[in-house]
Amino acid sequence: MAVRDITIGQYFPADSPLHRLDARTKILGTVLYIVSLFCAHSFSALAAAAVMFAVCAALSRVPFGFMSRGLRPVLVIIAFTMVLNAAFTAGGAVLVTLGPVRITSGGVRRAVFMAVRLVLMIFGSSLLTLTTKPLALTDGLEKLFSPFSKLGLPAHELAMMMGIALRFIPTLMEETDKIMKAQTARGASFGTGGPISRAKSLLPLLVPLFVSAFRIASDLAMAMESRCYRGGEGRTRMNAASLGRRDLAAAVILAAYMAVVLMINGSPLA
Amino acid sequence: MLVEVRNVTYTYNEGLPFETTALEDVSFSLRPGCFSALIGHTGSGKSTLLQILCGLIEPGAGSVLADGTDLYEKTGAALAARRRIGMVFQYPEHQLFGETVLADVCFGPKNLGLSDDECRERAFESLRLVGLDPDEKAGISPFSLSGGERRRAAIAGVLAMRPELLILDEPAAGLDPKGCGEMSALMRSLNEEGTGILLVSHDMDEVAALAKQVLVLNGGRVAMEGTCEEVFSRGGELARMGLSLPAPAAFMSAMAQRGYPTEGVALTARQAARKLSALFGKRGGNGV
Repeated sequence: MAVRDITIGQYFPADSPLHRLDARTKILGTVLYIVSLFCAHSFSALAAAAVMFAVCAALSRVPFGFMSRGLRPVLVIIAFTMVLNAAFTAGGAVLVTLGPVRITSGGVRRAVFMAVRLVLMIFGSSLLTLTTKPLALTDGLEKLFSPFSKLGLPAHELAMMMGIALRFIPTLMEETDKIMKAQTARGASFGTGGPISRAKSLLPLLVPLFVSAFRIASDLAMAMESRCYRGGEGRTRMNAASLGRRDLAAAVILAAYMAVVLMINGSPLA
Repeated sequence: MLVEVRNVTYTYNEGLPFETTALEDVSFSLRPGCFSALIGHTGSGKSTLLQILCGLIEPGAGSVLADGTDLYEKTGAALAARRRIGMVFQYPEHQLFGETVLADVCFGPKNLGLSDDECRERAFESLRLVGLDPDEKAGISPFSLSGGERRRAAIAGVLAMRPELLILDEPAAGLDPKGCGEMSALMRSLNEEGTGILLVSHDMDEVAALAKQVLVLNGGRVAMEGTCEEVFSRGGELARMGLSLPAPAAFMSAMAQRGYPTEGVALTARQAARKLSALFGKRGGNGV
């Protein structure tokens, strides 16, 4: 797997209703969606969540292939939780017995349920970063946090840190790719041999990467300071985001969706 | 080593909305012991071509042959051929990682499977080549060297692999005039000893002073290929590609526009002076 295949936190440029929503609406919507996934206790409730995701994904005009590419690295984790859930959940008829481990129908059911929930959670939250520019995202976060700043929460600093972290992902990926190529040109091979030689082969990659990260960070700090950055106090925006009719519509749809999930949970369908 | 690039095409992000074709049907060859320069505007596909040339990214179509061996075959011979091509990336000092300069320079030879003694010997030799005193610098951390020394140490790390073709991407970028001069001298002496050199540079004076052959890349295609004289006599076309002429040639073409035409192209100040003195000498001036 090449480093550049990791698309976590990447923005996908397109013009869609989802792209045009205010970042705050999308952040709260994503949080609500994750909450709904944890509220859902049945497959039918998860089906409702899947439908919701499908509609949003279609609206976002982000190709599904591009979205699922980011999921590939997480597949290992999902497979791992599936195995754990299947092996250690009791209940229902015993399907297979492997030594001390008994795989039951209840275990399999739970494993599938958890996997679907995880997949929906990752896909759902990736939609947020895919349709929101990092800058809009941090602005949204800052505004959402700002009521708490009276309680001493450094809202601006937190948002700025998050924004810089997001912005650094592609930069560090690029840097990794560059250093990897430079060392490969000197005959290094990554990802071959046993675990020890593999770990050792990472040293020529990690040392320059850390040096680069510090260099880039200090360059950035210098650039910010030379443009008189001194924290969030008294800072205003050139393009202030405002909530519109579109965001109201989104809120209504989300509320309706949440109600549906809760209703399915309480209904005989569950 | 003879390197032939045949009909190479490369596309980034194939099948995505931000798909871009970096190289299209590029063919040329580099003769053994050549000194060639690759020039082109930003985004003309230079970096991609370099990476394909040294075996790092496989072209979408076409092939790269080193003495007849395809670099991208899955054979030991292809791997051996790739290791005969050395690559000095832009800002090579960013790849340093060793605890000592010696350890870092030895990284390449060690990957070739050489013995410790031989690695050490090669490291000392290449440190001397780049002008770093091994007795003084080999034992210290590369991060305690100055900027220019770090770059030379990094280049020594590539030279220690004894490449037959050395590719350098903007090796003088960010160096002071003295450092630039030393870099030119290093490239020249390596070439005199038989190493083929492919230099990427935006400094046309550097290109004119060093290279024997020039390859111009524009929009992912080979736009011109020839000697310095041939390429730099086509100033108008170069300007349309966002490229400039070496300062003496630019001066002479400005003279020509003002009614003082001279024949041929002047690549160095000396050549320009000679042409001017011929021109004004004929008209009864004092000469230069």
